[in-house]
Amino acid sequence: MKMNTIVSELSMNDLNNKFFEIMQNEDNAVEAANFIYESVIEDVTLGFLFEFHHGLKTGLTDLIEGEKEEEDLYKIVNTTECDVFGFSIMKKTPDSNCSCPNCERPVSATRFAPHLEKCMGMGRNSSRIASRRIASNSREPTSYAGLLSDDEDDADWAGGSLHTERRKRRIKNNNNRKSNKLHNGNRNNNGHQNSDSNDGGATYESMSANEKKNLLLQICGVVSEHTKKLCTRSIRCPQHTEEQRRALRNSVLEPSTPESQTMGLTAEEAGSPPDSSPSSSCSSSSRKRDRHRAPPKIKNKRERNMSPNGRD
Amino acid sequence: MNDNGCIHLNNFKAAKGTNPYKIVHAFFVTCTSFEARRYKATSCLCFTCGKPGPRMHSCLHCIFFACYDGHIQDHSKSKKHFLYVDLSYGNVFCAQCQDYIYDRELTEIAMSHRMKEAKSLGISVPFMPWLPNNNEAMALRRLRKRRLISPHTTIGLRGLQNLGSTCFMNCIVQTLIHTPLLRDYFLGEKHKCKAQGSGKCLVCEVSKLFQEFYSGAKTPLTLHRLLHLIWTHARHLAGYEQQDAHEFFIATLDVLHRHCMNGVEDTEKKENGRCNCIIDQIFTGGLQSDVVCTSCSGVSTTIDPFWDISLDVAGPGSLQACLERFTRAEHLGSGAKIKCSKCRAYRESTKQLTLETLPIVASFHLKRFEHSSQIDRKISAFVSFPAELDMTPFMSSHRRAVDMGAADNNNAPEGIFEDNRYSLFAVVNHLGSLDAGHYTAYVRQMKGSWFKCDDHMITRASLREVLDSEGYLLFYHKTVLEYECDVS
Repeated sequence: MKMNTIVSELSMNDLNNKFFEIMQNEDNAVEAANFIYESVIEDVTLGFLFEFHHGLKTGLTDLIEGEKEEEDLYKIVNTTECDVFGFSIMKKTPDSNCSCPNCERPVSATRFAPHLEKCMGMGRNSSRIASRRIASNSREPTSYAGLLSDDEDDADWAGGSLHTERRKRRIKNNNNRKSNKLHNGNRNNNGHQNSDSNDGGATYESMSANEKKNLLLQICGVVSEHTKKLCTRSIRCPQHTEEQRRALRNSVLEPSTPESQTMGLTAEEAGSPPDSSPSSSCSSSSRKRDRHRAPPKIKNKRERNMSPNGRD
Repeated sequence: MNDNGCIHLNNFKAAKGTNPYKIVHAFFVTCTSFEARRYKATSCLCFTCGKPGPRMHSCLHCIFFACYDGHIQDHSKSKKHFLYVDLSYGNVFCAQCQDYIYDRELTEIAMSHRMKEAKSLGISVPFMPWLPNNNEAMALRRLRKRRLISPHTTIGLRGLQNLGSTCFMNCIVQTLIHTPLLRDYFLGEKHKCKAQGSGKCLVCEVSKLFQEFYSGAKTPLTLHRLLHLIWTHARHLAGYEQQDAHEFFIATLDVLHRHCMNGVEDTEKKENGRCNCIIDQIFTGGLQSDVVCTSCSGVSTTIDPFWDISLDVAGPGSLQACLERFTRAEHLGSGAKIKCSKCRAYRESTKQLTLETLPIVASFHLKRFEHSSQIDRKISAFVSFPAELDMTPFMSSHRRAVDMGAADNNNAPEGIFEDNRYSLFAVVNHLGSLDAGHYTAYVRQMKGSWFKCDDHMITRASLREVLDSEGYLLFYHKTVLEYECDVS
């Protein structure tokens, strides 16, 4: 191989020996250190120059740099009253609507998380939502649509234009309880209908005993004073009292049948959650005290670092 | 771009091919083997003056080394050998053009040699600037406008709408968006997804988010789809009321990790048993646990993957002190005997945790929330944390060296090329009490440029302010990245 010809007369061993011999002399060592230092500096500088030269000569620099975008549009605002975008730090951001990926309804953005929690059937409200779903799915043989009450504060569903008028009326009835929660009342309805959109005349009277029984196993069922419709919340619904529920079941179901007694018992046994006072537990603001509570974690010394467990 | 060399080089290549360049480069520029290093060390001297420089060159036409101090030029003139190679970087000088010239084919040879050299030395591949291919160059030519990230503009910053106590999500999203390597990955559009457009892939959703952050728009974003995707795929997150930012962070990484698999063929999923999705490449480290039997001194070692390190905050006053305690050997006591495989009996033992491999992003969780049967409380103790952190003292290799009394820097047993320095790039804070609180995040947009993210509100912050904050989750990014070489 032609490489052999260019290897100088020095072997590796000779080189090593010579190196240690020369380095015994302190002056030589200093000189060598300086040489190495200068070589490194020179090499690094040369590398930088080559990169620069390469960029210019091949046109790469121009290609990458292109035309710089005008920055003025995006300049950071540097005042104490504004954030970096120039929005006042005193003002709240305007609310907007977003479409819920779960139910496809328009939802006010600032109330999306509590809505989604209910909508997906997570958290404490899941039973209530689940019962609504059961109620709306068990439509045969009678359609309950139309007799289901809507007087829970579901204002996170921005009302469609069709309902705006009716909603307004209802709000008045409810002492303006919800007026501040209604957003974008003139938004498009997207064609979906709330369960109360057709005011049908169906009542308990039109149902068979079995239907009534099935329905009351799933929902509270108390008839609203305002809308004359059934309350569709769970049988533990805090809006209505146990007394109201028992009274309703007594009046609607045959007083003497064994079913009615069982029914009353079920509702009683289930009871209402200990921390829900009838007046406040439905409004999301009262739940604030529970938020951002770090969930209890399993204490286990051997798993000081347990986070990635359970994947794979 | 024009990197087709010159007519003289092209004539040379037509006559002799690229082999002469390959040999010179592999032996005297990059040294792809031990053999080559020996040749370079012994023979790179000027054939005319015998000196090792300045700026050694090698003739491309014949075997001749000479310095740039006139001797290589003399050889070129007298022999009419017009092409010679610089031995520091491997660039070719053409004496007829009187300039260094650049040829794509030779550049690619040089790059592959550099990777082989790193492999032969067992070090990481040196940084090589991006060289656009033909398609990329065409795109760059067609689209001339460049959007730059600068410390003076809001590009890369975006407020996030609070969706009803979703600050736990917002601060984690801000942290992920400002993770330097994740940003490069997503802005480089590296996520190729089979489920694209289905709206079911969280990685695609994050990819879209990056586009939003860098779009220049200023209005706050609404992350309703993101929240829905995470809750759908991490059902154990029991609704928004009980959300803890740390729990959300881990759940998000888990969903991202699972969704990364959507775009990957089954065959490339696992590389020597380890997942190499972008999440694991960035966030996964290896935690080593050594259990030593006090009777026979037998050691049982296990290594587990980790995404973050949870640290007790009661007592120590600094992050380093927390880590010191985390990696200290701990006597397990008589109440927790472990079966020793050597003694074949339950023995008292000591246990020590160390970091076997470090992730690119080191995430620390300060355990500020204490839950016990008696009391739930938040520990607001001050824990200082540095802007720059060296993780070397907490590494398994280092701890081993300390134990053997050989920890002085001069004879480090292994990993002499290791650089374990980290820089702080995000801090999540919990304000208020255990019962009612709010999360905010400090993020670093560029080096030295910090911002406070409080839902929709983004304001400038100083490093001092960041370091003085309480700290709940701390995120560090490796200061110097090491590139693996994929040359077989």
